[in-house]
Amino acid sequence: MKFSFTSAIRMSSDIIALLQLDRTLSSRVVVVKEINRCDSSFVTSCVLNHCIKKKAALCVLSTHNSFQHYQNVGLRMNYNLQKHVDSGLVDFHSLGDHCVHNLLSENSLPELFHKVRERITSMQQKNDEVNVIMDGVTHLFDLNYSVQQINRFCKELIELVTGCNNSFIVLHCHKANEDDVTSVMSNLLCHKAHTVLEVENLPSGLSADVSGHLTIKYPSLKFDTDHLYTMDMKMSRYLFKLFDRGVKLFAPGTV
Amino acid sequence: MGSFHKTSDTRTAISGTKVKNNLTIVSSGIPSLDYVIGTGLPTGSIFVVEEDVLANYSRILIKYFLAEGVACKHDLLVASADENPQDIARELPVPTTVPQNDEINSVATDVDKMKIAWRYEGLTQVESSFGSNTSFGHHFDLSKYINVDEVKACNISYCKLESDDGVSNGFKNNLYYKLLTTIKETVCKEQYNSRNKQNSNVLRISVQSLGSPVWMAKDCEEEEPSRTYGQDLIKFMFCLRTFLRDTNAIAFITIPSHLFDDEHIMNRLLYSVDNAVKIESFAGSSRETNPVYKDYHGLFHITKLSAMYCLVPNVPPSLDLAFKLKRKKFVIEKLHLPPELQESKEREQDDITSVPVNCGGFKKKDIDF
Repeated sequence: MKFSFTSAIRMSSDIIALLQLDRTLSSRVVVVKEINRCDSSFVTSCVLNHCIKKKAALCVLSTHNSFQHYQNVGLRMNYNLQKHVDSGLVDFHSLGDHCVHNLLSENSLPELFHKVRERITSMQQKNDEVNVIMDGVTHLFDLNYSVQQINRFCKELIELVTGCNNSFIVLHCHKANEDDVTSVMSNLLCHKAHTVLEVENLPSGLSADVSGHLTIKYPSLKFDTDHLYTMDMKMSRYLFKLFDRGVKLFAPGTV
Repeated sequence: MGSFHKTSDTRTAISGTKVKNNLTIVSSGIPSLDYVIGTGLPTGSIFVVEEDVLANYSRILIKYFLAEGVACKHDLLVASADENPQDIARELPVPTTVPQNDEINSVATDVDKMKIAWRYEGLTQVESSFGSNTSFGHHFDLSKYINVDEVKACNISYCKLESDDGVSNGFKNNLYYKLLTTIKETVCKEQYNSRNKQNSNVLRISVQSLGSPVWMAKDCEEEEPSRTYGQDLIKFMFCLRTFLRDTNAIAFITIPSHLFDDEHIMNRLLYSVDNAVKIESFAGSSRETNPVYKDYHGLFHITKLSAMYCLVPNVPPSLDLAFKLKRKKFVIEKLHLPPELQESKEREQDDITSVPVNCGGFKKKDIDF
């Protein structure tokens, strides 16, 4: 039992360290960009694990995966999401359900930010630090929101979260095509981000040894004293492999 | 003595299902398809088949899916805008107890007499057909139709979609709204709630040719069709995704993606879909006469596999898959090139321009790791 507990921590700490969420820095925006039909929900599960272990308040805005999905993944990673939702540490808001329900019953898309703000501000009153994860920003385009509306929503959301001390926001964005609105939005979000994580399936197919490529960029470090005289900051590339209990990273060529 | 008792999961009581990762899984009716996409189709998910050009084979897949539902006494919802859904349900294959083998097995006895070179004796036998020895799901005989009374005894409902000027909240074409509301009303019933432990059943929803010209008609009437083309379809798929999650319902949808003007649509759709495959038939293409493919009727592509309720998606044994339709059954196999037995001056392979994409010809930059 002890073994599984420590391994579960290690399995999510790779990602957390990569995103620098374990350091106490000022508020940050992390954008996860899914390329080539890759699924980045493992990042959400790792961040959930991290926040629960750290007892940091977290609000999950979900359009892509259900609560049951994160609950079941969580049980394998050694945390019970339901317990922490009941205790108020984690707030799970199914944004997709809310929008679809409104669309079909009232023939109009709801104002996105209104309800989200209510939930986050009520959490901010109780906690010093409220982190936010939003999975599937791209699904809002499926519902016919315009780029302008979604961009405004993300901007307001980022301002609300980063206004609070030491909080971070993780936005997942799927890039379906090179030249359409999903690509535009993911580039817009990357422009706002302090950390950009690109996850990508292997272009050559599927492998049992490696799940995909992972590229990390830190645009915010560009203005750090260390990197002030570097023209083009190098990005780091890794390979990742998913396990039931988390994810492991490898340097390219070490598998 | 011990205080730990494993609570038995009552969901296993639903016939024709098994539980994996706390998720109920049903069979697609084709053992080889179940094998290549994992163990089967997870409930609460959307499975999409991109149709072949003539839609012959995708229709067979739907029939298998429904026939498996009839054999397991699952509830069915058959929807179509192009043809009468009752016609689809009329031609379901009949379940059989033994796997249908069309090949003559007498050859097998001769094999024993042959002496294999000693260095190959230890090798495991190459298994190109999948799922032949599975006990999950039924085997069906495509040459016979199921009895009409047996289908009627099932809880089966039909949804024939016809366009009119009724309510179409959120959609331009009210076909989408009609289908969504029908599915929503059905799925909301207590017996399809995945947390419900009693009297629960699985609902199999099949939608044939979603996105055919009937569905796209309204998109083309707009002044600037390129801006909104396919938007209703993408919206529909996301709405369906939110309805089905955490239910005991599963949607099996065929889409004629080759008819779409805009190739971006399929990529957008696949984000909302859980598992997707594509059928590429040789009928009418130059590959029909290509000696490389002479044993098969078409290629079978896996376009998306997602992990539900766990992190690790299933990795199929191979991505080079092909299918063939025998007299009595549909099988998916690993694509093998035929042995070259004839002596000829010019090697036949040299003429073949359309070798499978994944076979050979790698450059160093193409290697992922």
